[in-house]
Amino acid sequence: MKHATLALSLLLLAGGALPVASAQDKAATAAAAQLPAWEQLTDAQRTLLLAPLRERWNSRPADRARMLAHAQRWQEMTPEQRQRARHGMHRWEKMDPEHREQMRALFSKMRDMDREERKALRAQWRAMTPEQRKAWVEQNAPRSED
Amino acid sequence: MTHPRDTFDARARDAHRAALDALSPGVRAQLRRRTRLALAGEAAGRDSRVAAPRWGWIAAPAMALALAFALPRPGAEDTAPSAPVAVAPASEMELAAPLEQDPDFYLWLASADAVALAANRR
Repeated sequence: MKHATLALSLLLLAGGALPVASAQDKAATAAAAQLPAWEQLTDAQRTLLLAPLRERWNSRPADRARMLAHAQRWQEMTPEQRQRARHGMHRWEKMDPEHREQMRALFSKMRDMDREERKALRAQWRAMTPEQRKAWVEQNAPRSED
Repeated sequence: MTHPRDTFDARARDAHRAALDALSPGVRAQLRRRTRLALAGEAAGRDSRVAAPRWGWIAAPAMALALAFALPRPGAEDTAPSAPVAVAPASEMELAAPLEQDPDFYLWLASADAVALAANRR
């Protein structure tokens, strides 16, 4: 069940999770285009493709519940939400560690706010100096990784 | 009972993970790109026998190895066993990335709120 959920989530993500191919990747893209859909792959090919995830799952037991919860949430999202989330994920990948901490703290704070409160926080954030922002992030750091 | 090899593998993976965490997003993207190019070169090389992709095939793991050795690893006290596993698992990081963070957080990062906050970054 867990594997099925994770595998399905990866399928849902397959279109957008990997970086966009550059001109230099054309050979790989052309080769990939000749490969069949997931349902037509052999069991061996599927096992091979899922191997990195299996490795991740087995090597980090403490992360399993979180990974599974995230996989289930991906499945619950609408296609449009998943598309936007993939866009957000690409933004995340480009952020430096400091920016990531800021965004995590802001998300943790904003997710329970109504529109007016979010607007006020945006204004407050805009007025802060870098030092004030750093102090704010430290004070509002999320308790867990989520 | 834990086999010594399991312990070795676990420590090597931890060291590799710490080394990757120490990389900037730009360098990680470059590593992923080189790995993809190397894999593409392996396939293309069978037909065209182009030399360049083969160099990529060599360069990507070598670069990963070099980074695993050279970069500081936060919290890692012993450094000896990290090298052998540093070659391959870049795809592990890439494949598991969607599950690393709350999907709702990723969704929020694409929102107007997040874009506005990021634009005001100093």
